[in-house]
Amino acid sequence: MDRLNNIIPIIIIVVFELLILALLNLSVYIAGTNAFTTGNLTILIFPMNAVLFLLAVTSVIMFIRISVNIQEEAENRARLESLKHLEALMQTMRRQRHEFNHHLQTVYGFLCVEAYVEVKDYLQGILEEVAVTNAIISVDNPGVSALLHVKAAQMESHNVQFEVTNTASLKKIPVKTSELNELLGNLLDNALEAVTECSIKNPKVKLIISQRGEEYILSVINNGLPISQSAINKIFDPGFSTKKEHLGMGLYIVKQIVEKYGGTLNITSNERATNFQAFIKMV
Amino acid sequence: MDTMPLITVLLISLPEEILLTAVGLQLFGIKLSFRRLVLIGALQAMVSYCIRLLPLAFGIHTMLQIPIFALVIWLIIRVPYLIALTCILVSASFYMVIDATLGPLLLHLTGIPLEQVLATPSLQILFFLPQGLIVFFIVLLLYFYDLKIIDLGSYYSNRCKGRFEWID
Repeated sequence: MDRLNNIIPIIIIVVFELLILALLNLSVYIAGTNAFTTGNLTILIFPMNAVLFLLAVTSVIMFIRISVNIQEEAENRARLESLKHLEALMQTMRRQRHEFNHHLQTVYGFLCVEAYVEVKDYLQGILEEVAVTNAIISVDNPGVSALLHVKAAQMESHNVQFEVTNTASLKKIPVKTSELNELLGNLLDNALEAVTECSIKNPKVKLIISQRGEEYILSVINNGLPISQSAINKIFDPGFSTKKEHLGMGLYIVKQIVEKYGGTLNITSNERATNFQAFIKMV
Repeated sequence: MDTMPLITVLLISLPEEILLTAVGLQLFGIKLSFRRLVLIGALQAMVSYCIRLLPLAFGIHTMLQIPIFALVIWLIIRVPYLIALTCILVSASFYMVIDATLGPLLLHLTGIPLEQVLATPSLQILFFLPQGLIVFFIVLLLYFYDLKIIDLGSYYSNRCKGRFEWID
């Protein structure tokens, strides 16, 4: 019913304007004849124009209200989506805690048979998973945590090693959560594509959230193929993409968001890794 | 005063009101039986006849008829008044636009003065035919392709014999 409550008044106003205009149109046409002895709407032309003006102003106000409502609805949907992802993150944490006892028992078993190398490898695997979850939680932004959790699952499904290193809380970042997610989401998606499109050994994507003085540095590093200098020069242009099926808007959006908050972007790419860095000043 | 002979009430006003109701309600996803459409049309034709007896300027009649038309729809099918008003405003506006376009065109093409058309019921019926047919064709298109502005079907259930129960 909420949607109806928004739409019905605007339909009424717009069609009422149309009706008045059609009636005035006919009235002007018949004004020259004596067909209607009681007169026509042309005798009320000034009040009618005033009504039309009021209706036009009201319809503009209502359109603005509707656009605000649409924006709020989109934000609420994004929040709801984040909440769902957060719930999944909590589920992962519960699972990890639940599995902890099994891991302890396994480690104990290894130690009993003095299999030190095996226990080291075993613990390394477990700690990597726990480290990602811990780093995701410690960003101090539930929306970003939710996104990173989803991205971690995505990387895992592509057999890409995903590392998150967080040395700074995102509490003081001036970027809105929805925009920050768009920024990180685009950078991580690009990194994932870079490592999956070519068959490289041990594909890796790393996100580093750090702080230098009064600015944040968000780095997304991948070990995919290097980007040529000519491509780097055009990479933030709208519509530029190295892939045919892409619109080439992702990095352009990233640039728009970073520049909106007075930040800068930097790319370095060589045989070993490609690093996208966003520098954003603290509040 | 713009009085109507009974023949024009039956051959112009009645089909006109039925078509307006059909267009308005179909555009909002409300489907009615033909019997109910005729009932609404007949009641509104009577209202229209009475209103035209009032000494009002051309155009005021139309504006006065619309809220009453919505009231008639509300009485018959119990759809919320605001929805009924919206349905009828939409169809009346479309109809007025067709009227404002075709009326002067027909008068120009035939060369018959407006005074003569208004004074002769047979001419009134002949002049109504083209726009009546256009609206009828629109109704057929709307029903055939099931076109709607908003589908209110998701907001109501018609469990109680054609009357609408609103689901909030």
